[in-house]
Amino acid sequence: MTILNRFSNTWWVIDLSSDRTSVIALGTHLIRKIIFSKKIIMPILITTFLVFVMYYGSTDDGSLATGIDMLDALILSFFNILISMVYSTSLIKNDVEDRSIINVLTAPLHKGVIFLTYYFSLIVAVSFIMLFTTMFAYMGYFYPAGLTWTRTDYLVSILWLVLISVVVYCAFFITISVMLKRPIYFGLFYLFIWEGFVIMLPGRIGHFTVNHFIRSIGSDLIEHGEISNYVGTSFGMSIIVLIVVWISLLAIGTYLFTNKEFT
Amino acid sequence: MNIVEANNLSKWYGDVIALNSLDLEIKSGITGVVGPNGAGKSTLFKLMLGLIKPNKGSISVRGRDPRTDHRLMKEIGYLPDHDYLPEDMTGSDFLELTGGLRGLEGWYLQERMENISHLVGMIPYLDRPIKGYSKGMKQRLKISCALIHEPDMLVLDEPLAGTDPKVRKIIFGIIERLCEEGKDIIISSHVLYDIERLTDQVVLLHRGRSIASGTISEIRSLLDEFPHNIVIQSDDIRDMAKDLMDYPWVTSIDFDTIYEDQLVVKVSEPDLFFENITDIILDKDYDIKKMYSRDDDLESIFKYMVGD
Repeated sequence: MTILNRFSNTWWVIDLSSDRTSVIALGTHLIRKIIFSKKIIMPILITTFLVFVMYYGSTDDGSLATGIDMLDALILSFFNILISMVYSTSLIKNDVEDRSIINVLTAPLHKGVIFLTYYFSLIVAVSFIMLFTTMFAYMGYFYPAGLTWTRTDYLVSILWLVLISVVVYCAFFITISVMLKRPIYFGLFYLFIWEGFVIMLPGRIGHFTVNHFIRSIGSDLIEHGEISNYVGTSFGMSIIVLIVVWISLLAIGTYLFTNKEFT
Repeated sequence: MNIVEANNLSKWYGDVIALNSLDLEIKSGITGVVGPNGAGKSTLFKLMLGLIKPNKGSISVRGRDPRTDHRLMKEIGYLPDHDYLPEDMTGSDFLELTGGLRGLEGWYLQERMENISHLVGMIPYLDRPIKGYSKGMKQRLKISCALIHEPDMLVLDEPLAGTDPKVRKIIFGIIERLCEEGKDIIISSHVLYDIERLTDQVVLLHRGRSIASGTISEIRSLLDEFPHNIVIQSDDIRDMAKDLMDYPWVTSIDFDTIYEDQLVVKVSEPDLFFENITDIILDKDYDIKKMYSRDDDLESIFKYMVGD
């Protein structure tokens, strides 16, 4: 199977069948590297914190709506973005800094394929981490409240939203990491100022955040909590916008990586 | 057939010019790229591998553009001059990853790993984490990685730098064996002597330009064509100085102000000096403690050729 692309000045061809072994080797290595790195302590601490906070919320209130609101505020609006940012901004950058990327760049793979393999490995690893974090946070609230298995449909909905946002945020931050020398500073600004603050401002400026579209999709999937009352863009339009943003980010990231110089 | 062709190739980083309108042709076989630090050797290699792009001019490897033809990497094995090995992996895991990245899998990959590790003498150390490796072990692992996919062409950037005599012997052996197998090898070094052991074909780089290319003997003969400063250490330096002044090829003699038993003889024709000095010493039975030329190295050739 071949994919034709025209991100660079000339047409280039990705031969997926021939590159299969190389992509699998790189992907497996990257997923292992992300999950078994020392950085894993961060999601473990976050998960511990979330379980504690969710458990406290459960004993304090215990209603379904409060549980959904807490998952929304803690995971969807903050920790999901934070974890995506930390891993995405450091993955390629660390390999460039310790020069281990030379081993990858001298493999017979198109640089575009290398970038996309980095990206998809990132998604698999971060989704895996977020799946556990969200599950534990959910159990922290819903188990003591006696709601564990009654509203698993909401757990599934939340997990879908987490997955969608991981896909988009990782595309955004990994592209930023190819573009900027210090992507983490931009990432922190984006997390706290743009996604965290601008979305709360009156008017339509909040519509220019990814979180706006995630919450818009969430309002269609979940019937309890503040997210269900969120007045945003329609479900279909939100999906279309996120797909367009996602593809655009990957196209830009692939183009930048392909034309980047590795000294 | 030329395996590398560079035309008017220039590369600069900000204000620093790494390669300056370089025209170059490298033929099949072993070729040494020699030059002092900062001559542009590593930049040339990175351009050959498509890791960076030229600011001006063009480069082709095996008739193809390395920047756009990534399949070319199937035919090239690269050993960088810098350390790029991940400290937390074992040698075995890293070699397996490198093989996988180059499209090897299954029993063939295992067989290649075993053969290559045996060749470089790394089998006993493969299961150890790389962070515990010595410089020599790291260098041998890097060579294994460059060879794992059986490339037809090898680009070795300073493979002998910082290695002990035992590892040097292993590396020399590997390179000679690969040459016998008909591989094309481009090897860089800042030590002419290292290259001289491996090949007759040399390119001299200095400040991003090719200042000479050809056989080692041609380059070597340049050493004898320019004035040398020869240091002689002996208890009889005053008598020696008197004797040496009689020869027309001795331009001047300076007594060292720090070491009282040392003098510096400037000779216009070093080959005549070295032909006659033995007789002079034996005739008068001078006790020589030390004698060496300050200019018998590549840096001196470069300075001489570029008029520094």
